[in-house]
Amino acid sequence: MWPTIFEFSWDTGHMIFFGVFYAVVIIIATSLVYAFAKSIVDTFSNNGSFDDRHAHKPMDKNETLGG
Amino acid sequence: MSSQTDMPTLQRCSAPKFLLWLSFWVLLLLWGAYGAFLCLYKGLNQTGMNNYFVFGVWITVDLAIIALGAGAFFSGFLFYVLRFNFLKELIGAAVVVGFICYSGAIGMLTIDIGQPLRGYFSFWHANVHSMLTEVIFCITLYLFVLTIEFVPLITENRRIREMPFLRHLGENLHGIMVVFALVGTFLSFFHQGSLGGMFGTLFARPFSYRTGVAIWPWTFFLFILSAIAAGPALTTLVVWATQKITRRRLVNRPTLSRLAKLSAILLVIYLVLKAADTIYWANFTAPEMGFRFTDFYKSPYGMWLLFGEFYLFGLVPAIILLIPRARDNDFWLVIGCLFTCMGIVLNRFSFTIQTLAVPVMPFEKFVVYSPTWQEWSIVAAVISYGVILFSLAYRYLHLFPREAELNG
Repeated sequence: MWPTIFEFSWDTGHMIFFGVFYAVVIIIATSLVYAFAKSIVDTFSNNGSFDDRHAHKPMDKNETLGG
Repeated sequence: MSSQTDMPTLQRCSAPKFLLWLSFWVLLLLWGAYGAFLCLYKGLNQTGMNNYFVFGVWITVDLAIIALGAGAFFSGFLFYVLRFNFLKELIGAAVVVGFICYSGAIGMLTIDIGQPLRGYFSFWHANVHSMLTEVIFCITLYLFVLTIEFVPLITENRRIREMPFLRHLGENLHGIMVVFALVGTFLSFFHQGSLGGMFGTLFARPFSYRTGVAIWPWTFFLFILSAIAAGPALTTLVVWATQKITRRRLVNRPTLSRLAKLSAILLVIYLVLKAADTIYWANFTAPEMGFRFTDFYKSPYGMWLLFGEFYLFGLVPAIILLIPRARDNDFWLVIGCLFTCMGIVLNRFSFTIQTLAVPVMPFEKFVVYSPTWQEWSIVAAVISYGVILFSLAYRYLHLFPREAELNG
């Protein structure tokens, strides 16, 4: 799996096999990081398809902070 | 993906009724857990495997459910990449079925390798010249992709949607699902193929050895084709069975027919190529290795296996599902899809068991493999795990987007 472990060699088979494997892992990881990061941004910015129930509602004229 | 405002309330059976349904499957699961405990605690001497049969019923079932689980990647590819929009009605169910098949297969492999704690060896000390290395890498990664595809379904649950982060996560993952669909297709293509390639490269096992192109024997391509033919058939069966058990309409009836037709077309292509491969193997490849065609088929693994695979569970379901009036009839639809799935199971059985049963040394005899109850119990556990997970998914998630509309 890593160049430092037993039986790893810098031959064509290892480079193609692990090249493709790590490319797939990187694509999955990048997509996940993107989805997580965007979700965090969306959560704190209250935009996008966020449901109205969770959105900040402006206070009514008659409401007071003290209730 | 639906938004919170258009998420309908779906009618489900009462909790006691649901628990009663689950209890039978939980008992089966516990039986399997006991079998698994014995295999892990006492070792693989609890199985019917021996020096002849290093692969047994677990590998047969593994190969079969991985092929049948191909409905997830193939449906995902057709829906997200090629825009086959009719699949929207059941893409969620296809993903859950795929997740069940792959997680069940990996669970079974964990017992099969005998020393699960050393399971990481296949990653850490990867033999890049082995088809099995490609298989283990791809099915592990693909299970991860299926888990990611499962997440948006879970985050659609009403309670979970109340948590803003999880809701956004589900929506954002859904937004880039085409990436996961493409990655899943790539991974599935190679591991389905490599499972076939693994048998095709066995030069010392003339029953399964095949010629091919470059490093890939013909079985590489036949396994991919058979999987994408059988996957949609299992998805159709599962959706049909869920409709019957719950007595609710979950998808439009023509959707099931279209999926079955797709399965039949792919099955015909597979059968033609499989026939060509078998004729060439029987007349050229096997004789060159000193075997006659009839040497491979002896009781109990007789010629009936080949005829069953080609005709009863191959040609018959293909013809049934290609006739519009037949596939529009529930009885024939089920027979067609069921026989297609059984044909794939039979094919994987032949490659796994019959390959090892045929003698390759002058002093060997044709041997027969008998699984023990421990092996069957683990197979039963995987099936019951699948039923339990699908039942929970149906009850608590919104698997079928048109359910409310169709039962309005």
